[in-house]
Amino acid sequence: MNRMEEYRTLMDALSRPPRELEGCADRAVRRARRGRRPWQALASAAAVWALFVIMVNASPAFAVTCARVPFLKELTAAVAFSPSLRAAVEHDFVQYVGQSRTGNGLTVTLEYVIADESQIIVFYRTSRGRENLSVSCDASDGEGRDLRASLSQSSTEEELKRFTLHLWEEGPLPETLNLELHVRALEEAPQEGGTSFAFSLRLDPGKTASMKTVPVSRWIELDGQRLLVDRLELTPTRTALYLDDHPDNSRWLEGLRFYFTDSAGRRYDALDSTLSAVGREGGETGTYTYFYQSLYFLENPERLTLHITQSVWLDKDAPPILVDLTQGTAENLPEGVELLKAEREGTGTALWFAVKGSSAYGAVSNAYLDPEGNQAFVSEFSYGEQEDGSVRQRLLLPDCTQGSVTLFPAYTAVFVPEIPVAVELG
Amino acid sequence: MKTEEFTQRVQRVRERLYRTAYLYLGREHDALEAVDEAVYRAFRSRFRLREAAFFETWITRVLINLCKDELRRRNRETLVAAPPEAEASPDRLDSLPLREAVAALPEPLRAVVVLRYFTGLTLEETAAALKIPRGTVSTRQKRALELLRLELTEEEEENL
Repeated sequence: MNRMEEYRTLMDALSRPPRELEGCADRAVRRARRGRRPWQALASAAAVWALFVIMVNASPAFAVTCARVPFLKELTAAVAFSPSLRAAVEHDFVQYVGQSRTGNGLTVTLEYVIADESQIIVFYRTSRGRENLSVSCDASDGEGRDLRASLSQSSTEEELKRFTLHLWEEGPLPETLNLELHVRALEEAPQEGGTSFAFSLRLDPGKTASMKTVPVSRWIELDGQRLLVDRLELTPTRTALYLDDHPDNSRWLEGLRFYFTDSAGRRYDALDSTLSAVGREGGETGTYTYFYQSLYFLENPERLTLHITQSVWLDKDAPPILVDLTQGTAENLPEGVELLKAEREGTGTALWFAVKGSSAYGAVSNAYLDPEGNQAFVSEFSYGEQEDGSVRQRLLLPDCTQGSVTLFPAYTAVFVPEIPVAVELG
Repeated sequence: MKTEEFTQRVQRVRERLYRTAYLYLGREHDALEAVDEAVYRAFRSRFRLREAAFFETWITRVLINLCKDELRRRNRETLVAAPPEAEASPDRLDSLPLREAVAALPEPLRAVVVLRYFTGLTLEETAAALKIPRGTVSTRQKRALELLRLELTEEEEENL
């Protein structure tokens, strides 16, 4: 056989790849869902670095509702810091579950669920008491169809803990919700250890209210960039603000701070979630979703006014940040960001940044290129506020101690208008 | 990029990815694992891809880096000290089956020949995937074809 015959034979063999190849995308999505807990790491770091004092402000209606639910005190504490969940409890959107499962010496009890078309919040406890464990979860309906969702979990010192399934596809919830929880110690790697627990819940349609939408479709200008305020979506547990950007913009929107006022001038300013979503199509336009405290129970949400107080931008042609790990120097850092030090930690290097000004956004994204040009991911991220209002950020680059790495800026400029930009939504 | 679009794009390129991984790693199981890992990493960082049009070259680059990592790992495991790489010559490569001859090419030539003649990327796409100039791709592919003694017709190149 000559080389050309060999070539054709090899190409012919390669044209019949193994059948397992067909599921590669689905496997990646499932694996990412199982391993996705970025907010947990952030919350743990915040607990170490910062102390936030928030007054519990339970209303009489809230207390009355809690009185109808078992474990009043615990549920009160569990939702006290979330205006949205408090509102959901107040309006009787809590569903009691009370199911326990035991395996490998660990008992997991699901106590309550608050569910709407955007997310499912599950309150649970384990026989390990106050210890924080890592939870991942696969959800499906009564016919076994997957509910695609990402999971966030925050650490707490209370026994009643919660995780949230952020649903990727909005729509009516199924009447039967199957949850397969995988619970493991925080120090265990995702692939090892842990125990699975299967639960099947009946969701009461009377406690899963439909979404309300306030269409807006109004262009605004911020720092020379154009944004379309598209719509507001309201569910009992959160509000979602949808924005699009203009293809002529020279910058990507990376962050937005805002609040709402109603027709009586009352201000609603609880972000209530660190979660936001960004989608960028064709490298030209972006779509942005910001989640906010629930305004679902307001009488006239279409009379709300949006007030934008800060926008954070990334130049579309922003150069990457080059960090020399040996010298501890950096080039092309974003505005107001300084590299304090690069120090070896175990087999990796920790980078410490000081971020000045009013922005507490991460200075760089979590993906970077290692000294050999391979893509890698930051393994730990933590931050703490300083007395002067600046922020210290620490990133751990695993298995990386020498040479230069390439980081990507998370933003290049912060814009704070003298007067908040107001947009009437109705 | 939304999950649905990501999934559709992966479906369109998965066979090309498999061919690339197979030619680098030489074993079906390893190639499947490499594709799985590349798709997973691409999914996790899909929001960093600002131009969807570059999806294929981008995910190909992720895959090639993984394959090179795997080859380095194998070398570390099997050799106390890696012997100096024998210089590739047509005569030496002639004695090898084609797949092994491709694997024996110096890495820069191997990457080009795999992407151009087994995966079917264009000159421009290959240049983008490897982050090298188009002219360099041309030079390397010519040299690689000489070493392998492959003479593809225009029709065969177009049918890739």
